[in-house]
Amino acid sequence: MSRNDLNMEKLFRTQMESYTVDPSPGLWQKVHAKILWKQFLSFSFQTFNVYYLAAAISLAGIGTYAWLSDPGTAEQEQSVRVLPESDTNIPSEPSPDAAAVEQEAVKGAEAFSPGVQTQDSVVHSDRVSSSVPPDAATETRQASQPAEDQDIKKSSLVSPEPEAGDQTGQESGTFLVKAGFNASLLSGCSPLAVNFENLSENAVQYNWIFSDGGSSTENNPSYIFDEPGEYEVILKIIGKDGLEYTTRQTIRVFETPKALFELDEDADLTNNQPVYFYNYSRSADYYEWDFGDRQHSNLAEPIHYYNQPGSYNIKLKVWTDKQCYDSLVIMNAFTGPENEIRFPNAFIPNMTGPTGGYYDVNDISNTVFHPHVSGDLIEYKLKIFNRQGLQIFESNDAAFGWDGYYQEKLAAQDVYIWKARGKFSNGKTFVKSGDVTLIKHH
Amino acid sequence: MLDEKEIIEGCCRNERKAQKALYERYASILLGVCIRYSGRRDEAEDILQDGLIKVYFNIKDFAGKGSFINWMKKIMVNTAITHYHRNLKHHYHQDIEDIRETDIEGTSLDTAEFTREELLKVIKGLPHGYRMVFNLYAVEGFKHKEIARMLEVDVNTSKSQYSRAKSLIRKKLGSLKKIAEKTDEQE
Repeated sequence: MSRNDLNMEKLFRTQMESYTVDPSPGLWQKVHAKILWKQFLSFSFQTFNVYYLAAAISLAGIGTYAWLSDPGTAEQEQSVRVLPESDTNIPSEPSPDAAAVEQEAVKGAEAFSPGVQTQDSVVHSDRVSSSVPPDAATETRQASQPAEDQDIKKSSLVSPEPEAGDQTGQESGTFLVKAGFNASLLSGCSPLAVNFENLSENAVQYNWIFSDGGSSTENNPSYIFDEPGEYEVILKIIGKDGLEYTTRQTIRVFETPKALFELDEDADLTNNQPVYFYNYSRSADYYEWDFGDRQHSNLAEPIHYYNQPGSYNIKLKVWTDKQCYDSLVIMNAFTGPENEIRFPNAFIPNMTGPTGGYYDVNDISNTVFHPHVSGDLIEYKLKIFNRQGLQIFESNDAAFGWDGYYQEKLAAQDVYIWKARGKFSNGKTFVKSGDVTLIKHH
Repeated sequence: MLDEKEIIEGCCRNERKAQKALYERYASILLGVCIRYSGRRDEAEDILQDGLIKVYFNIKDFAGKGSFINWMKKIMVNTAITHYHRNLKHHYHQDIEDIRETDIEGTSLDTAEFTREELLKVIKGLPHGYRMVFNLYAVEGFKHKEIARMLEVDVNTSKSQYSRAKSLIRKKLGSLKKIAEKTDEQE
């Protein structure tokens, strides 16, 4: 282990050992609630306490109510609270049953989920029947509260968690107006399409507000949120009683990342040379590269070594923390090597006389100096100079090379300078120069 | 103010006051541990909640041997690992390939050069698997064998993830340093 490694471990250990972060306010309440809940679930006489009693009574009461009221309403997610008095006589003496219902809900909230606030909607039913089921009434008829007291509760009431009892009990009226809806998705990646299922009852008109400027008056609208953000979806209904009711839910739309990269097209895949990948992806947290040779990397900007030249399909997948995803494939990367021209650095001319410069590619006798070409050349020019700077050869055809003869005479055994320029059919141009040694074979 | 002993004894008796005192005294330290493993605050707080519940309900198992805070830290680490496993199918999966890496050589890391926030940012920026291994090995001081058992991976996986995490960190710290030097020059 190098000094560096020790250093880095020490650095993080010393700095992070005593790292503290202040928890969000209210976290203790959540923890406390969990303790109570867990103690409640692992009930024993040791832990038997007032919470258990309260919860048991609440459950019994809720169960009775749910059983007695319309079974259909027991499935909706929105908790609905019924204040059984007409708008015109709110300050008047509330019926004892209403107070009992209120108290029931409060109990439920305390016992199950202190501090946890869920969606709730307040619904006023305008008329109340006096035919309260006697069982339910006796179960909860314990306290009647003054109207002021109840008004305060109306605004501060925390509704219980849905599992714990989303039914706060309902009085059977002539009709009950309810505003509520389900969203097919509460969160997802942009653009996010959400189907809304209207759970409202006894409504005559719907108005949806999607908080990004969109709205709808359909019963069950579908909506696409294009941009990331948090959107409050508000459903306003007009009930049969002519009053407006509102319910809302928040839809979270996460940013979808964009996969984008470039690579070193001119990279030399031979000799195990490094190939650099340039990652221009946006909003991504994680990367996975598939280099097309069954090798992978999770680095943002990897450097890859290919075992053999060729063309590869390179794929980049990107993710965010929220599991939004994108990918990009570059097909047939490194087709560059197909368009390639290379020159040898020595040749042995035919000693007995000029061969004319045309050669057979498969001939390995190396009597003609000529390039090795892969790809289609559409332009080509080769010039060869001797040490004095005198041009001794020129060709406009790659198939026509230098046989080592200048003005019908074999040139001296020496180093010659060449320069070549040209263009491939894909538009790629080249300018190359180098030297070549003429070797006389005796 | 309750001292540590009173807190532990009180929690053993399920006393609300002691439980709250424990929270007030240790939650911020424990959240510091959770956030290193999660990288996300909301998830870290979930881990803290779950871990604290374990602390409260298993406090009788803490025999008073060793350090109480380390016992709780270990519970947080284990809870973070549970969360990691639970979320593994959602998080991206690591492929361990031995890709040669050009490391920035000779970068000496001076403790004083980096702030805690910078280091945390670097940790947060790691892929999830790397972050687990790096924290467990470098900060908590577990052996690769132990880490492999905890994360249910091969020992070599733990080693190679650690070494790649390190080279990523070194790169990130190196670029932080460069930025810092640039701003120094401008000044």
